[in-house]
Amino acid sequence: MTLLRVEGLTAGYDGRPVLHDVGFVLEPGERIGVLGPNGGGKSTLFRVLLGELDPFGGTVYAAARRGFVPQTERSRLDYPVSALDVALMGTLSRAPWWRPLRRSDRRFALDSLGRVGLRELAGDRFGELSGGKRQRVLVARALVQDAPILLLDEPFTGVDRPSADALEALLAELAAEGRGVLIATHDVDQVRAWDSVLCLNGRQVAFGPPERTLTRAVLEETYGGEIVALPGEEGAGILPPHHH
Amino acid sequence: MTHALFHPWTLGFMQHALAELALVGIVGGALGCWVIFYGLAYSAESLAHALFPGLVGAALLGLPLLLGGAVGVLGAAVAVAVFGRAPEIGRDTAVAVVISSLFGAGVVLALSQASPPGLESLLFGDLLGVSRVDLLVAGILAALALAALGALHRLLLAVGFDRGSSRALVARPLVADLALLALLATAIVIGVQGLGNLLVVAVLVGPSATARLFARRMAPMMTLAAGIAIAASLAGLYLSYYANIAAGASVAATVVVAYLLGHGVRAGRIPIVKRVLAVAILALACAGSAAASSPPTLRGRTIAIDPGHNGGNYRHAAQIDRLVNAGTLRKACDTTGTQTNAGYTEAAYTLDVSLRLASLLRAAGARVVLTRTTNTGWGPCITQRAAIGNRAHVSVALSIHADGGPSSGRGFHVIYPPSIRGLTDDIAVASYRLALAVRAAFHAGTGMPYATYIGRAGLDRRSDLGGLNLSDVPKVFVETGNMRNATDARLLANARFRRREAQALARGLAAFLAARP
Repeated sequence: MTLLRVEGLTAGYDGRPVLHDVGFVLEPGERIGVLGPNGGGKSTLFRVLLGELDPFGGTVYAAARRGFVPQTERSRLDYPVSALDVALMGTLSRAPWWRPLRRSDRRFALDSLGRVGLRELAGDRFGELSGGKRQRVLVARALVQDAPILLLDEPFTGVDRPSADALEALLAELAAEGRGVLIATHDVDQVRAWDSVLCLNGRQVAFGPPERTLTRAVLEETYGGEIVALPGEEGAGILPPHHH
Repeated sequence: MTHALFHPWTLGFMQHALAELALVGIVGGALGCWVIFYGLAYSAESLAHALFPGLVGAALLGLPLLLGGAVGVLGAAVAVAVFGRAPEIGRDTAVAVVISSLFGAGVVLALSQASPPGLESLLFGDLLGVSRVDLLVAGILAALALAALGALHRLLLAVGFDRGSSRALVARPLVADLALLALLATAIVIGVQGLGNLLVVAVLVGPSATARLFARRMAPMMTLAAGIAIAASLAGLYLSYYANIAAGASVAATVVVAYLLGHGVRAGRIPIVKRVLAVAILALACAGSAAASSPPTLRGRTIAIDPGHNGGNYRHAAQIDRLVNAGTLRKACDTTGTQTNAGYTEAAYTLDVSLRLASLLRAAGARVVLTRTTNTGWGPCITQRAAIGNRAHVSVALSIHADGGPSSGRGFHVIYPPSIRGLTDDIAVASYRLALAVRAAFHAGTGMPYATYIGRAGLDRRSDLGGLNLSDVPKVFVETGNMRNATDARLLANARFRRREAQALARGLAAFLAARP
């Protein structure tokens, strides 16, 4: 069963399209990396997939609920919530908002925090966690949403090494469970380990398995020719200009 | 000491004020936290201002203020929705213009000749005028608001945390925003009668802003905010009671003080020793001001209230015209009294205020003796009126009147007896003190000015009143206003104002008795 099918998608704001001609398929168990410069349309694509933005044209078919992991750079640090509170927000996807929380909700949320390795920090204030841990809490929230499709918006940005490793392992696990995972990222090397890569730069530059897709030509087109080539085999050491 | 602490709460109107503030505090504690995190403080202020014409309209029509507030909020919402759509104006400008215009319209309406006075009570509230019915309605609204907040909690928490991904969570930001605005309007309607147009938002949101400095999670923050609100309300009401400051203003002030204290503590600008010191000084100041006035409860006191004249006097000319010995002269047994141009009689008026006053005093634990309890008979004679108080061994007696002065003259005055050998020499000093206490309380509690046409600074000394001359207990007359003056007449004919008069007189009597163990 295909989880997500996008065909001929055009989307934008105020009548001006910023993303043309996007078409790809997400199957269960797949991880797709979404590459592209800032302003290349990654966020716009995600907003369309989440149903926040109506496309100008094309079709988006989603077979299941979509969970979303935003960038923690944008979370409010002054908000009076614990890690567990944030994880529990995911229950809104599964039950109407007026239904009180149940014991099973809390247990599920605690288990989800456990899966991202933060069970012990469940009671800690969200805003006082490190960036990496906050990102993992947001992943736990998406786990609580229990969505077969997961969209992650640059989850590795500003994240410490241990958190990045934990996250990477978790994404593999989630895919192995049969979920479809769409990850916006800047890390070309990381994408190589995943199933497919979608390159966007105002339009779809390429879509396919990383070994065939990540050529110098595609990357140059994706990042506007300003890429930095490191010594090494063709394509292996290519970094986008704003790679961290 | 304990007496001083508990005394205010033996008075019905103080209980009502505290109950009203507790409702505002609890709803505000929960709602205020959302207002802060949703950045709605300005909207709250705007809503409070925009409902002003509704309030004034209700006061004009004699309708419940709660209803006026509700209609005002709806009207403002419609106006904002309509003008906010006008493309050439811009939403922000439209809202600002609508809000300012509505507020201005309310003020103009309130200042118009036809309106009942009391603009300041709409602006600053009338905490001590909150009635049982007001409380009941406010209580129901508060319960509904809290239930809604409980149901909305998860949604509000998620949307406020992360509006951007709330759609992905199937949390609906629009539902959250609209619900919050509706609840805000409800909370303002609950609090506006007690705290007025200008203070209600401060008391609704202030405690949450303080709690935010300390609480780490939402539910404790709300609880703390409600606690701060109630503590500040208590402190404010004590302040108001013992320092004789308008209740709403002193509560708003204590809310602000709580915030400043919280900020100081949080920012570490006040080290722990000084913190303890500050709390101690505050406590001492409270205790000091309490001890200074230290009024015991009215329990064990007997008070005579004398509603001037009688509604049936005009039908009993023969009886009331009979001359009696008024001590210094012989004069008629009683008179018919005056009335407003609209025909509201002094006799009906004095009985109404007296009955209100009696119930307040009884609620405070006093025994009350009334010289009459109906408005259909005649008399009693002035000699009897004094004798009733003397026989009952009352602690203090108050005769309630309204004047029939020149139509251009306004205001109230208190009449006390001079020292007359063999008549008032034993009560003159105490009666003068009583006059001062009643004058101060009535002036502060009702806003009625000192009489412009008689006496001096709201006081008049007279030796021709049998009711005073023949009294063996401290006694004064209060002439609460001039029924022949259009402004005063409108006030005296207003039930809400009479309630405030009774409350003010009760405070005056309590203050006088407090100084007499």
